[in-house]
Amino acid sequence: MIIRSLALLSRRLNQLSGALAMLLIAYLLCHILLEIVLRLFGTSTYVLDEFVGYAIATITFLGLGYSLERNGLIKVNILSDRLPEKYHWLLDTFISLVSFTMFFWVSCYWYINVSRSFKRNITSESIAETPLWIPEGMVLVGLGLLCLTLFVRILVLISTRHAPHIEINK
Amino acid sequence: AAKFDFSNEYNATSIHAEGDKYFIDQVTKLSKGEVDITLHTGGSLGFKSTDNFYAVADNAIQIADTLAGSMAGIDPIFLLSSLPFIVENEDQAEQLYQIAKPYYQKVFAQNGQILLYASPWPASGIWSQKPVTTKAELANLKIRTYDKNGTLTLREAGAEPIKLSWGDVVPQLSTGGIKAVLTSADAGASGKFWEHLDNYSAIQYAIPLNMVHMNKDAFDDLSTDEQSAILKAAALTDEHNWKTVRTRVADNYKDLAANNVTIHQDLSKNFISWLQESAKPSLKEWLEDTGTSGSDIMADFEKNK
Amino acid sequence: MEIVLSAVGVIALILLVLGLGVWVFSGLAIVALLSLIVIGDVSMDRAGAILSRILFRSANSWELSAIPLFILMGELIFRSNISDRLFRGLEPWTKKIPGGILHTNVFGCALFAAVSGSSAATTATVGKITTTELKKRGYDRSLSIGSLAGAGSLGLLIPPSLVMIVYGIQSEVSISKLFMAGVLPGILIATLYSGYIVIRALLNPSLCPPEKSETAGKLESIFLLLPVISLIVIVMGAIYSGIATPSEAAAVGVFATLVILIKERQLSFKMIQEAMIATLLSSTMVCSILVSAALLSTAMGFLHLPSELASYIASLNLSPSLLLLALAVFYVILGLFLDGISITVMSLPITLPIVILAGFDPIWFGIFLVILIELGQITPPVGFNLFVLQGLTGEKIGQVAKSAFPFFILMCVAAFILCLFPEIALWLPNALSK
Ligand code: NA
Ligand code: NA
Repeated sequence: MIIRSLALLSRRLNQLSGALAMLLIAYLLCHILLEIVLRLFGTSTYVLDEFVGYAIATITFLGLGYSLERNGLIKVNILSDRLPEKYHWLLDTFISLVSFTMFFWVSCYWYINVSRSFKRNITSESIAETPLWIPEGMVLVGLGLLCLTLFVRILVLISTRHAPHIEINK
Repeated sequence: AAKFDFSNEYNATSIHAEGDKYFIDQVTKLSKGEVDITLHTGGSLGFKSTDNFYAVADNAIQIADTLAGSMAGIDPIFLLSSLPFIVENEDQAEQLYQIAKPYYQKVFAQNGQILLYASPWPASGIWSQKPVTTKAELANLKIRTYDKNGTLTLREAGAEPIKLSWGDVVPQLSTGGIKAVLTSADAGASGKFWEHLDNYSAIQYAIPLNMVHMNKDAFDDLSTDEQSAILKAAALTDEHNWKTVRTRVADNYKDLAANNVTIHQDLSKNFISWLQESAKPSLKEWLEDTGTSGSDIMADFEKNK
Repeated sequence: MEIVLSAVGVIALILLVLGLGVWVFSGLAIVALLSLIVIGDVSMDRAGAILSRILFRSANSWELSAIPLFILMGELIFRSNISDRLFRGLEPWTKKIPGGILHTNVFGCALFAAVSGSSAATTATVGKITTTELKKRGYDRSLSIGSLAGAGSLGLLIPPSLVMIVYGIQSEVSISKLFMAGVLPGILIATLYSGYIVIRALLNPSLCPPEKSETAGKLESIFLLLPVISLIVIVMGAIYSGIATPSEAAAVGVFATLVILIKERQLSFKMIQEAMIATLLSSTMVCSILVSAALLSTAMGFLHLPSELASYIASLNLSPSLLLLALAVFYVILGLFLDGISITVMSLPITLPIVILAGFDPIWFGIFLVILIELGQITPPVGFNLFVLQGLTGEKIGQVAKSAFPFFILMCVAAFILCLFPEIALWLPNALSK
């Protein structure tokens, strides 16, 4: 029961972050086009490379949990293909656990940095003086969602012996 | 022996990397090989200037060579050396650095670091297709700038500043997307700008500093002899770098002349004072951001220059 | 020798971790962490500070923005009838050539390389448009995937090129000349690939099924090709007129595609939605692997692995031709598991001076290096074009790598030809800069 509601939660959150990431892709497009047009008229947004950098980092990390749920992240599977089908869930649990540990651990260190940027109000050195905790925090959110998705995956694997995944029509 | 990683984002023959190698050589000599520093040029460890301050604070790397302006979001004092038209030459730049040094040292100390030495850039000027020696010639010029103050100042002066990543500069020069670049003769020479541009105006826009800083814990873990080797080497390198930046400019000018770039020196008073006027808002904003420390430094500098 | 052991250890670790079936992006991050801690003897806290910062830094990159946008362009074209029209339009021209429209992969990539600076974007965009069509038409899967893997890496050799920009800045040689120097070698490699497809098709006609008899006439084909031709003209025009930088070309490409789709009344909300979902999935896959590959590169930097291997080669005092051979082996080995830009910045301070001392032209060496880096894009265990194609086609990585192998060999041949005839690279920049 708890597992199912957690799974639902991670699914909904990933849908949300996925939608946000897609909006950001549209934003990338618009900002670059705007910059090209402004430049023709001798002016500029002056923050193109800075903001586009933040956006692409956010898109990548917000997309991780979303892609993981939809089997969009590739694996190599040289050894697992030689393993009998009925043990696949065990191997999957193991690699999910290892990945979870890795990214949870990295997230903890990144959290230290984000909270420092927030507390000291550190900004970028550009014209926009962007508070750095915003883009850094978006990456942290993406990492957090990835950890949640992996955690749910482990629970589902242990309870059902099958990996959860959402079909999409490509 | 202690092993340190030292990161900068400049290529191996740049003035900064050369200074850093000089420092490492001095340390090796003075510590009799007990302190082993590896220099990673070209940002090859993956850190950019903007990452260095906290990368060193967190001991990810022990030493870094960092563009001071890139730390302005941490403390506005670091913007000082890249403020436009404050110093007229290397003597004044060195003087200003000595005046501001205690302020820099304080910020580093508060973040678990020590300031080792400065690595000044050769003065920035304007690389352009057509000569830029008057207000009219600057008007509506599409010019690539490297920081916020450059953008504000040149916009104020009537040009059309554009922000581009360094990697996009040469492709844009070759297609005519930009007509000029605000940078040093040195950086332009290493980018072979003379293939696209024929003029260099030595407006002495600024002599920005890079700072080389070290993690304090890593320093404290060294023996007293090793510590003094590092400090001695840092002092020697500081002296070396301020000397080099002067000769470097002379060498760059020879290079430019050999490649048929016209160097415009001794620009008209009118033009320079127009540029200085355009830079006023940047200076004013900086004085507001830094409060008394900024005005103290400026007062001291005006008195002594 | 200790450093060679470390290199072997890292490669073995990658094979083990990725082979177990860990997602590539997470596997490379794990290998980076283990290398730092086990081989580099770095403390946990320090490793955390290093890796978390590089994670953000490498994702926060202006140059990466071309990847989702070019992928979006490919997805839109794939979902419209532009791709179908492209192939029907090409049929009358390629009917008589053995291999038929399989050559689209090679020429499509070569052409696309002229607007894109990266190989991942080239492979992903062209691959999206061609793989499904070629499969539908019954072309040999292996030849189709292999030619894409090989030709996709031309993105780095035909200007604009991210690697050349990095090389130019690091080695202080003219980026414009490097760009010019890449053109003829790029054409040479494309020709080798097409020649190979012709030979394979002649030896075994079943690889390329005969086209239907009722192909379009030549005049009609021009009409069919019109959307693709206008796309190419618009994007190239934007770059070479200076209106857009190479990094901005992708946005221009998406914009032009949207305009054409609106004009042809093909754009629908459903199409945009599906294209966006597919774009997010592919670009997350590619960008996340690039990010964790950056973690691995940083870890190798802290182990001083590339620089010490390069210093070892420098210490051997080899004759010029042996030096080139040793460097080729060195770069191909690093290319097994590191990305091209990292290899360039880590090794160049050591390799470039010895190369110049041996009398080689730095522009020529830049092109040679780019070809060696392209090789790394199609070698397992870490090869970006292989990953992109695995994601696109759903084939196993081993199968993709096997398909790419003949094209790997052909690229080695190209590198060898470039050593014998350096003028292939140097003629154009010398002729144009006078
Ligand atoms: Na290209
Ligand atoms: Na590879």
